[in-house]
Amino acid sequence: MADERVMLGNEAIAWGLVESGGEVITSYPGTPSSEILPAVIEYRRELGAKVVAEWSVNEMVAFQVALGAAYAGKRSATIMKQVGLNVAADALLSSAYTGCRGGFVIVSADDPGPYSSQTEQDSRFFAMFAKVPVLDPATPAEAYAYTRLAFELSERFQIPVILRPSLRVCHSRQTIALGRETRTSQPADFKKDPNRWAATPKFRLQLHRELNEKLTAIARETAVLEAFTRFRDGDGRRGVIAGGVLRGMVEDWAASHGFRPPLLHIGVPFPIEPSLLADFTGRYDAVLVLEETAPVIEQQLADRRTVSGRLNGAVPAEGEISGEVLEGVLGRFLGLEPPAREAAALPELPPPRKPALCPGCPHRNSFHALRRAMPKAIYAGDIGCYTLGINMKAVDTVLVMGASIGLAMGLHQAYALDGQNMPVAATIGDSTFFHSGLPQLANAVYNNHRVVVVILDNFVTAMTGMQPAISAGRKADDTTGQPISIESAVRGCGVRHIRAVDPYLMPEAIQALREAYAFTQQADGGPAVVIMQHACVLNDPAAGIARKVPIEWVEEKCTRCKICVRNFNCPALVDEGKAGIRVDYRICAECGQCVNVCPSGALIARVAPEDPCNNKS
Amino acid sequence: MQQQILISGVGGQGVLFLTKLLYTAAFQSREAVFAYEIHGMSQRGGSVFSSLKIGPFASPALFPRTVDLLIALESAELFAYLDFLKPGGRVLCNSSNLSPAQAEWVKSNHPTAFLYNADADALRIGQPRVSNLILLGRHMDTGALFCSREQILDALKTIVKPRFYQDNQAAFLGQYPRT
Repeated sequence: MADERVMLGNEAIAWGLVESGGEVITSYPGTPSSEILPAVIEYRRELGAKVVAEWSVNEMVAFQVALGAAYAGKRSATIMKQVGLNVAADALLSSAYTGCRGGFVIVSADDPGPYSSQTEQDSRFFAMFAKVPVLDPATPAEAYAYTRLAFELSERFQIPVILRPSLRVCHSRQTIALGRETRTSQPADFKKDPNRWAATPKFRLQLHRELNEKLTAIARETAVLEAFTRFRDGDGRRGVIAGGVLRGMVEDWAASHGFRPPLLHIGVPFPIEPSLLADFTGRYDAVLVLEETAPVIEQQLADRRTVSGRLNGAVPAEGEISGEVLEGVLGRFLGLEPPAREAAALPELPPPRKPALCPGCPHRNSFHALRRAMPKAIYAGDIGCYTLGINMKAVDTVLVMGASIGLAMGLHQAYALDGQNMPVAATIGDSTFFHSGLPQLANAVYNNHRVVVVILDNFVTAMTGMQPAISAGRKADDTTGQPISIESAVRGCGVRHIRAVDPYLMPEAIQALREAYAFTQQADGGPAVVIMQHACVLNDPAAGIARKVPIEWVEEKCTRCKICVRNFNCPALVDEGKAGIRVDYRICAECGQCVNVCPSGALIARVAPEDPCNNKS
Repeated sequence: MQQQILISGVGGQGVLFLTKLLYTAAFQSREAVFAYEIHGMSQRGGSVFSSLKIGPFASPALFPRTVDLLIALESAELFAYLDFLKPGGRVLCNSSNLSPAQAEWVKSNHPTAFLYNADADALRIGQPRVSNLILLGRHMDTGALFCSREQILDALKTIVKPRFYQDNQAAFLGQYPRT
């Protein structure tokens, strides 16, 4: 009997990786891909498979670890979000030429919208650029099937294969029938062949020729495989080509409208057999191409005279194709009347709730301290929960992982050139620091850039779902690894001024930042580092908030200065305008930190003698 | 059977929990199901929504004017999603933060809307996290769901730790002191 369960797309991919005999599986967390590796670890237990699964330090490292195993003949996979593929790009492009021996699957999860990323970039485009095949599943069930097919394809053609699930595949759930027969392990057997694995430019030309031949063969083969390529005729003379999640959306739209336009589903958007597209466009009066996010299939249509899509503006050139967008696009393409809308004017609404640092979050204290210690500074921020320091006006730039330190150096230099001394502070989390902050810090020391670097160490990678921190030395599967102390890494880079402080001790944190800035200003000074150490209150509530302090707002004392909401920006403190402040007890973490922030003593610790938490103090 | 449900709220209110409860109930009653949920940055106190499509569908995505049941765990998160409600679809709203003017607007534009201050009940019994179950339970008194109360309780038993089951069950069934 088939094992059926409701599975997240990411879990379905994980099951496929383990069931197919993936033996070395690496990842760096990033939305929407983060749930895959933890699921791999769960399923390897369930399926009794021998799998090495690791959170690597960054995507480039993850890519190389997995590829190395594939060179040795093991099936292996590396998992990341789409911008992570940028980090791994150098290795990806070269690996297309060298190929692999064991099946090698790169899962690169896209984020059209974008909802949790700095770009809407399309991994399918990257696949085309790198010249590797890419599979684009439409549903969680298809993601499971494609994961298995990706290994087959990769191993048979000895080529890396990208599996590109988009957000609505990663984070949707569906009932899936699972197989349980795991593939037998292949013994490690690296066959020395310098002309391939260490190819010099002369041999690279030959490898490129072989790569092109592989792609031609793959296009021909996948064009006739039903799992990847499906055509059905339908109503009318206007056809739709759809890839990924759009295929299912077109079918749902058709079912609810009782009108089924002809549909060609493309599961392998690169490489595509040219005649596949030409035959379809030749058959109908007009063709609409629906895909996320870039016009990858559309651009491979040689003759686009009857083709609509992102390129001619029929589909918006940016953004996720939501149900609402698709309804409009299909309606216009098929010449249907737009549905009548009679929307009543909405009542007066509060401003929409923005994402914010959690109540009790130690980063809030660090940012508050930073603004107090270096009020005139430019604040170069980074990527993680603490990007939300933007709400506290303590994050002025966010570019890519590690760029806080990189941009800080350039910002400071720009003013220094003009004879001005602009204070600049970089804020970066513990995981991001190891991911791509180390080379930046080494550069700051080597070239003597006088910036303050604040490392926000909450002992966990919080934003992406509580992956263990390198400094804590716990590994992906909860076994013990060798911890690396942030302080010793910073010292190893040659930084001469390092302070570690608990940001819950606000005066000490402010003092540490002032001293760090002073060091950057000394004649013999240089870059300075402050490490803010306090546990994430979501991950470790007991350590994060060791003593609970219930809060009360005292109306008479409040001057309505709103520092607690505007500067400290705790979501549990609600701005009620002239009426003052309301404590939202549903979400207040009772961290007590706002007591130290209110200048007029209007936020006080509520005395509740019967409360056992208070008696502890 | 086809039913589409949208659940909105803010991070920490149990939007994902309620989603899990409903897709588990659908699975256990042998209905095909697609569920879609938001992860990542929005979970940090921002607007969160999830959706369920129960019955034969080909994608997890929602279209405007198709949702049968719109559940708002935070009243401010109701209005952004009203476009998804189909004509005659039902609104189920935790009304703790709803202003009188907003409540009036909802009632006049959606006569079948069910507004209930589930937070008040939840805070009174000292369990602020169960307001989502209280709200769903009150809906079952008066509105249609793809499954029965018993099937929800079966799903609840599957997904919560045994030590929480009794409190959760009481919240869903409204078996706690009301005043």
